[in-house]
Amino acid sequence: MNKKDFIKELEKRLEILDEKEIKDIVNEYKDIIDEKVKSGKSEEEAVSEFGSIDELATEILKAYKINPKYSNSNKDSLKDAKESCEGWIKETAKTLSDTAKGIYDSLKKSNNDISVELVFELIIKFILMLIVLAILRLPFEIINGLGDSIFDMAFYPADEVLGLVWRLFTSILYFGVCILIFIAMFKEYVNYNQNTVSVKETKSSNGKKKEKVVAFERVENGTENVATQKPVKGNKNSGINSALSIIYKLFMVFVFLIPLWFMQLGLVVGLAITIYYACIGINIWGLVVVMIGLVIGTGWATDIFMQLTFKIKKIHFYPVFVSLLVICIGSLIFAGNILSFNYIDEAPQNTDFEYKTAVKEFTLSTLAPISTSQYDMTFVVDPELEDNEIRTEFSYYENFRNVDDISLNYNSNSNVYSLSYIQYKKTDFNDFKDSYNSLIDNLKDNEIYNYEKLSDVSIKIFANENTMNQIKK
Amino acid sequence: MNTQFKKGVLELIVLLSINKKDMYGYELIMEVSKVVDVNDGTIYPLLKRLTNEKYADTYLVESTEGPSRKYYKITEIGKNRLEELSSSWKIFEKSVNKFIKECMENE
Repeated sequence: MNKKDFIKELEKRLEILDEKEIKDIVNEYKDIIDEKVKSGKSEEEAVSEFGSIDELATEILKAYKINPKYSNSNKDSLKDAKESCEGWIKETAKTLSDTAKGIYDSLKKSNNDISVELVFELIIKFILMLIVLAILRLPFEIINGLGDSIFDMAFYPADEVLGLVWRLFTSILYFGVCILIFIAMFKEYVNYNQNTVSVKETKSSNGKKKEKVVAFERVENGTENVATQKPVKGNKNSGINSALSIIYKLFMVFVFLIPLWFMQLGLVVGLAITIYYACIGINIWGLVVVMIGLVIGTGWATDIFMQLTFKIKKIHFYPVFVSLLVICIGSLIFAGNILSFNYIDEAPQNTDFEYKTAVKEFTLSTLAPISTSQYDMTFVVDPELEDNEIRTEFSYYENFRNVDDISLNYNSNSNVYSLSYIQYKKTDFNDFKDSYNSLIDNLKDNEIYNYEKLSDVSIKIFANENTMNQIKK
Repeated sequence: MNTQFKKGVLELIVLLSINKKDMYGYELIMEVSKVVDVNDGTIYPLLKRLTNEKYADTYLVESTEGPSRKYYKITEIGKNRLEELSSSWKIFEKSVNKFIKECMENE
């Protein structure tokens, strides 16, 4: 290791200390190296005379009364969690394999290359991965359901199209996450198979180093009575603790962080959509401001849970006030925006929509009332019609509805007529486009119509006064 | 030599060295390595502990060549500590020597 690498490594290991202190320490070591170089040694020689950098960093931290283990775990707790998780898996695999090995060895003595331990480790990891993926399915399902219920508010066929796009999007996302998790979990085995020997060697050397440090620490504890010292990670005692911390972290991640991330994702998409519509002229700037506030708010919440999960100490509270402020202002503006809209309880006016009326006439054989329980019907007196003659008119927008098979059936048991017809929903993309355009145009004019009415069918029944008295009861 | 044993003695040697005259890091390493064969890296943590425990003080001196050097100077508490350590060393040395002598004679 040359001087630069040594300094870099040392700085990394002393990260927990104050910046000024690190600089101080590093300067001291730089000086020593420089002096040694001056006296004719190489940089590498000078560095090697410091001994193992692990021990050196441990010693320095101890001089500050800092638990050397803490600096590592705090620096990269995710990595630490992963490591201890792996350690736990390996240990479980080892105990399982030890028992299995006995049976296996007695059954068959062979010089197989793949160790039983490795096979068990792989199996356990695979099961663990399946569980993780299954749990991961939950937030995605929630997001799916959320999307569906939001898109249900849109009128047909927009809800179906958006729903499909949304489900496709989340599925791709989920699939991507699955692949990433798989790669993360099994990457090392690809290398393992390629050069088993070298991996084994480094593994054993790591093990030795750990043992050394543990032994070293034990002596330390005995002689100097340093209460703060704890055995380095990998020890069985800390195994339970790290297992608990993994469970805690997993809980935090799945219950809070992942939903929050998705919420943020959704809010950002929502923000983009609202900004787009605000830009094309719809008066919803208030909603844009509210969305910005929500993005800041969830960002802050995510930050808090990240800090709670990974035990970082600094917590800022000002983002929550900023977000509240922005949300309040946005809500007020949006309320103003909403009040400026006129709600018109009619189908939107648009020349592209054709209003069609289907007419069918019937002659009644018996005079009996027409059941009104099924549909909304309007009875209109038409003196031009003859006795016992009625005319039905079905009016609807041809672009969205189609009415067929109109019939009037007499039920002799209850002595009523019942009207029946079949109506179709139409799924024409051009009509969808037309209605979308009319929606946007209306919104630009601060007008909201009742779009449901586009698919309404209004029924009128005509008869002369005489007949009307008989059929309307 | 045993590491733990060496470490205890190291404190005494470092205190003795800076009691003689104020020294900077590298100078101290050279001085100490005259007596015990020790990892160069372990001197600094020891110096840090000595300054933390107020046995030693530090000050910077501008150097004509290169950056300024940090010198270590013994304090009054440090001198007391030195007194303490050296007397216990003497007692220890005496009793060990005595024991060696006894063992040799019995042989």
